[in-house]
Amino acid sequence: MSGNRAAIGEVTSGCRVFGAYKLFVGIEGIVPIIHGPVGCYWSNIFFQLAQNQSNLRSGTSALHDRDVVFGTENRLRQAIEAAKRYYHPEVIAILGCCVPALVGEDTELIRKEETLDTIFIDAAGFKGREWEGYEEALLSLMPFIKKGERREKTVNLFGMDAVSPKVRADMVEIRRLLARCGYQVNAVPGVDSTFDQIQKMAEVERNVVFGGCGLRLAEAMETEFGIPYEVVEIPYGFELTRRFLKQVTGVNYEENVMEELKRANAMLHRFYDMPVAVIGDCARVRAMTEFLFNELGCDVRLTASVYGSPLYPETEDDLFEIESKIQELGDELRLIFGTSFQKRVAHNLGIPLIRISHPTYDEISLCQHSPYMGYRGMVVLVEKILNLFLNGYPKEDW
Amino acid sequence: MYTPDGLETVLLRDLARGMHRFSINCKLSGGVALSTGVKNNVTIIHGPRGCAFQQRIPVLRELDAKMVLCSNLDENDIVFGGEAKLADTILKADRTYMPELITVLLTCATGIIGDDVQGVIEDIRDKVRSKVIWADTSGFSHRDLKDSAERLLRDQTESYRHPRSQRVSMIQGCGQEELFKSFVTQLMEPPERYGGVDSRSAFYVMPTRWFGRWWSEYLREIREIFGSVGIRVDCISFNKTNVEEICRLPCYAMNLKGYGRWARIMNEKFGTGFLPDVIEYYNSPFREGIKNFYLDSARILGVEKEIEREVEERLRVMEEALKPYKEIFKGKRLAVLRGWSHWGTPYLVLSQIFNLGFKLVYLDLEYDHVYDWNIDKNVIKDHLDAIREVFNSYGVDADIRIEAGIEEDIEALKQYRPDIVITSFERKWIPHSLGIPAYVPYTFSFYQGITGALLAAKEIYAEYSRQGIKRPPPIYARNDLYPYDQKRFPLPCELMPSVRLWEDVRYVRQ
Repeated sequence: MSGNRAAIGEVTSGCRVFGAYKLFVGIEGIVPIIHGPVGCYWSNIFFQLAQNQSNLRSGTSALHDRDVVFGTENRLRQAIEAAKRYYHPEVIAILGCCVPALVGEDTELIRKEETLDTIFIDAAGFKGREWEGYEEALLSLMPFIKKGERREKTVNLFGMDAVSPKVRADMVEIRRLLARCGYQVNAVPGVDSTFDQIQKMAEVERNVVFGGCGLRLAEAMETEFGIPYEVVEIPYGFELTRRFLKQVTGVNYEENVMEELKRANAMLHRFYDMPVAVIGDCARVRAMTEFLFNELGCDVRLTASVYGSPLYPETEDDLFEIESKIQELGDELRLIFGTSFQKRVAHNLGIPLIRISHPTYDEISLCQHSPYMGYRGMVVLVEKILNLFLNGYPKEDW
Repeated sequence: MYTPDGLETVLLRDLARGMHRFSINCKLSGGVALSTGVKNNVTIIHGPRGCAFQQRIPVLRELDAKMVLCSNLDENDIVFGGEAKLADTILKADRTYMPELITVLLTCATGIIGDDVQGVIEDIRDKVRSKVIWADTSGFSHRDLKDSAERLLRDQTESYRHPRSQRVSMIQGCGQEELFKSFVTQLMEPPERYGGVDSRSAFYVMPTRWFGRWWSEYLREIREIFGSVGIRVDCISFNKTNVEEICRLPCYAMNLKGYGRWARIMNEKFGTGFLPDVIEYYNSPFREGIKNFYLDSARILGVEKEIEREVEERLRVMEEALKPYKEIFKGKRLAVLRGWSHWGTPYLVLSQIFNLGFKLVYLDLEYDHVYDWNIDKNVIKDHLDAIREVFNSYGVDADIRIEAGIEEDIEALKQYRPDIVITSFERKWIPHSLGIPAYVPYTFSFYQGITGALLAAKEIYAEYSRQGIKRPPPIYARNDLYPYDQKRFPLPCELMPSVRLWEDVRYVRQ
């Protein structure tokens, strides 16, 4: 683990601007403007488009040489005007990158001039990590949340974003399961939420915080609106799903996953003691590890959290070290649950890689009904793992 | 051919290519793409973590780059300077990876705070085994995009009118240029160190994207033709080149693929000859383009007379090999629906007309929607006039349109009833839906040289001979299910605001 906030290495996660972007781009009605040079915009939208090529409600001020010398304010004004012209947003979220932070523009003046509601996130890359940008962006929604009549058995889900693999299918499954327990979901900030849902976030019975991601807003809402929150593990597998539903709804709801898994009965037993590695954001790594170890009986040889949360701020911050550890395990390892950044090492070692976490840019999730979370997700995961091996052509290298 | 490259590459490349409708990447991306193509190099991104994270996937490589370290500057470093951390990062890179070369790339933050990178390198030179170079790839450090777009179009216009005396031009914002300059000024060594310039040698640089399988054949052709007059040609490809090869480049007398200003700097510093080409005229796969590539290069190398005979002989053999195809295609009607960028399109289309005897009846020119940009309309008009003049000068008189809509293209195909269409992979269904064969050339750059001419003929013939191509438009092209922009197909209507916003913001002159 690296406690150093800014350790030298092959970094595993992005900066504040990306943390903020991946939240705002998933809220209809809010348009994030990357206030910086073209590269900051390109890089952010790349991860977004890799997951959803039909949505790109964002803009940039596209700063360059002359703006650094003569000031960046006009560029920002033009970007805001263009965003209003093309998207008709309810709120503009200005994500200030390194350049405006360093040249010292008067963003507040521009915000005062603006008739539309604006959010400003000081997202300069040197000011912090991706998860911190996400937390700050989520917290910045507070002023827009209106006090309203409490809706029983309704929750908000915090900690999700627009760029994680399977996230839409996962949310469909979570909504389905909560509905079975009599609960509704108001907003999932970051995943196809509307601004109206954001404004109504104070009407819920409680907030659900996955893996501590989104904790700062949950705490603020508890203080401001008296809405309690539950920190839950991501519901991978049978037990975590059962526990999640019990924790959130108080209902002990189970679905018999063995009804489907039994069709691979003869193969399931090979999961036992299978050496695996789990790499990803802190919430997914914790939950996936628990599922793999406790339910499938795998031998989890390596875990690495590359993206933190207020509860788990410590992260592994050097891809080189992660790769080295994987390589040390070598042939022993049979499967990696990780991100696209483990693609090369997985390929070199001939080990299958299942992408469970951001950054994932080389896998697309289309079907809304094939999640990894929840009871259905467990079946999908088991099916995927088995087929990864079964589809391979046996090596005959004796 | 469906595509010469693997789909694992093509799908990501298509995504990145499509992204250029909404944005462009910064210099850091080009710098990372180029530097990570050098064997035993470690790239250091000197700046905050986000730059290193985001640019780990260089667009031109479609992979996550390896050995990309970040100095990971935080607020303290920005206030007090990032030099100490840069020194630590270089030392760590040297110790951990034991590379031959360390390439330091600047980011916006370090470009602004003004770290003395050269000073840091000098200070620790004795403590590291590897060579260390740096390049200013800070993302903001490019000209106004409106200015540079106009300049590029003007340069291209001139080049279309005088293809054998082209200007050196460059695309603003591509960090490959900056790093190439750094190679020239910081890494390349005086040829005297290696015994001087070999006047009978040349190199051909392949930076990052042209790695289609056919290139090895094409390079063999270049080597053989120059080799016939005793000129050695080596290929420097940035997926496997090593540090020593770059250091020794000044030992060559000529740079055969000399695009960009770095080629001029190399010429000024080491006297290395080069041949500017911003419109892909040279070695376009037809007699004139091929011949002039060799003759104009040979003139610089002083072997013009010697090589002419060999080139003529090769062209004779080429024309002989093309004869059977020409007999089949002579007088057949050809239509072109986009397919290539406007760069070089005239020569690539002309190549098929001359090589195979087609009659061009309809050309829908890909033009990057330049007319929608906020740039000087006279510049655009002049540019288009120059392209039309190229066709006219070769006696080609076809219906040329600029980025016609899908319906317009369909109508044109019905009207002109071409025997074959050359198009992009996204539009291949249009001629197929009418039962017309459709050939899709290589996405980024058409085949070149004699090899390219023969390969294209073979592939065009294969498509022409296919049976049972007619089928209805695919579901993803159905406007009633997912409306797309007529002119910018396959862009869906719902993404058009993002495109227009980008074009508005990009070309605003302050």
